[in-house]
Amino acid sequence: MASAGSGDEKAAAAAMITLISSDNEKFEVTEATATLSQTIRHMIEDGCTDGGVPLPNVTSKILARVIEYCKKHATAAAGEEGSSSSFSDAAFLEVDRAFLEELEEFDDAFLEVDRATLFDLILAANYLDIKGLLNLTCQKVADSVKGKTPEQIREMYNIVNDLTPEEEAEIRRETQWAFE
Amino acid sequence: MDCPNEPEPEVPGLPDDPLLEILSRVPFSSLCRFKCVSKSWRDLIANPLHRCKLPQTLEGLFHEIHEEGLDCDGDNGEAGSDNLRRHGYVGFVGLLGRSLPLVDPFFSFLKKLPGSEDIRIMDTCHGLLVLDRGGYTFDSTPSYVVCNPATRQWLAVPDFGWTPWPCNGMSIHLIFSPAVSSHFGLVQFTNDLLTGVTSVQTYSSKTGAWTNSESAWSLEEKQAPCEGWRYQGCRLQPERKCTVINGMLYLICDSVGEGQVVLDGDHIVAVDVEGKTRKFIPVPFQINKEKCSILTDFVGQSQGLLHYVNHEEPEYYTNYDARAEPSAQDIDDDMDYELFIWVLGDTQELVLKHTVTFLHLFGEKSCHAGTDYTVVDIHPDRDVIIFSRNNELISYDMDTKEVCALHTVSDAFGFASYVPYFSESPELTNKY
Repeated sequence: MASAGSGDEKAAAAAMITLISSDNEKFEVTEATATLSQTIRHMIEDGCTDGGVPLPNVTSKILARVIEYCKKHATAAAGEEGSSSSFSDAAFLEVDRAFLEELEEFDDAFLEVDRATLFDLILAANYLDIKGLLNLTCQKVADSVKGKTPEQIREMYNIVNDLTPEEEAEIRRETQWAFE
Repeated sequence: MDCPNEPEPEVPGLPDDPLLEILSRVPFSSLCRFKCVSKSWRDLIANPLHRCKLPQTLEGLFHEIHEEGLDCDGDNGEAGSDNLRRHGYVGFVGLLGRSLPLVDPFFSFLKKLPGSEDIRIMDTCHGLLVLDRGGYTFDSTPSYVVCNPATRQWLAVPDFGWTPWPCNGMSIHLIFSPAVSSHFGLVQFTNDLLTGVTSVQTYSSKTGAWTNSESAWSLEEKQAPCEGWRYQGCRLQPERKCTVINGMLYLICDSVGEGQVVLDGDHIVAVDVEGKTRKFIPVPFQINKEKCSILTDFVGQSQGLLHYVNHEEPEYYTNYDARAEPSAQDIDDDMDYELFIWVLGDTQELVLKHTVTFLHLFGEKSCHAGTDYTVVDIHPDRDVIIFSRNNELISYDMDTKEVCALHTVSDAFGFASYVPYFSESPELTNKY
């Protein structure tokens, strides 16, 4: 069991993937980290990652953050697989709990970015199809907008109101209660 | 409704897909407001293609129909029946004033299924319904179907594989929280006629199999402190409704076990998808008036929080059968009896949210629950309670204090709220 485990780890460590940002910076990551992205997972399965994976939509600044997230969560995923096999006693649960707390703290700290970076992270998570990151970042934006009025949203995101007063009045009439 | 070219993304750098991801995570009320942001936001939110992503609201109420009411057998001719539709013993009342219902409330997609002409609605949860096609007969073995009227998908749930014993009561509940898990579960409670013990059977869509607490659980699991109510003879009150929040089922448990009071008041029981009791929350029942009882009406969910409703009524309503003639000293004309709405706060304690008198609601100083009125539902997105009273559905808005007649619903009972869910579930393997 132990030897098989370390063998797997070695195999995973050997498989490195190179990601290339839009500004041509190269990032070496393990396959376990890279495959948190469904987009890259499919590329690996199709065998088209030799010579690096160009990501023309992602800057090096954002890609570095995305990789930071994937590294942390790839370890978490590996940890989960290991512990959920057959152990269920208190000691292991305790370790799990501590790890989950740490992960939560990591996520909270990860989200301490300005709005532009947050949007860039959402775009990258969407393009790379990283479910956890998309969920985390979208939830953060959703929590910040949900209590806002339409006026506040327009102000926050520089949106021009192109609805006619009649159209706006009609929408307000339909669901008056939501505006109270 | 035609969508011409891709509209320009208005949030700088945020195309429609990620914007939808964000909007799918805001409450329905925010979504209504955000239609006013701009044309592209309005069109994005109103696009029917996005229904499966975006939050939905209370579309209407399924209900059962008294058998004598079935004689008139028709959707036409009755006053105010435009939105009242029927199939078998099941009817549907639309609450959003649509000319055509958004989903198929006739269950026409189930027609190929044997026994579907006799279906009863047992429970609804997040757009899914559990139906029993065993019919109304008292001793019939239930035969459950889980379906989604919005996607017209269904699954005939396999039989338990053991014979149910004589029981006082049986209730079946659906647990489906797509934010937590794509699987759904059924939790069935049966109260043994001889021992008074409530046992719990669960069905998991993940394994496709039933589990019985009495045969499959370890002694430790059975003797967990939270499971005590099941062995004390306490009965669940499924007619007081139930609700699911974050994958946990909440129901009301009676304080009376085997003819005597064994608990300090009614309790809210929180049960997980494995049927295990995780929380046992006492409900508030402080009596502020003389010769007055506090009775549980309802447990439900609004704006993601657990809500609980109870009320005061004169003691003689409950102490005597069939509201026997009260003595002069029982009647206090100056007393205004009240209905209370509580919400479960962060502290896991029920906090009083709103109080209203029966005088304001129904023009009477006191009301007898069940006979005079029933709490049908609390709106999932608004501070609105829906009552049924004298064949009418009545809404009460806690913010504006407005009482409003919604619909006439003759011979309807057993209402179940319906919020559509437009995503297909791989586990509902049949589709019409």
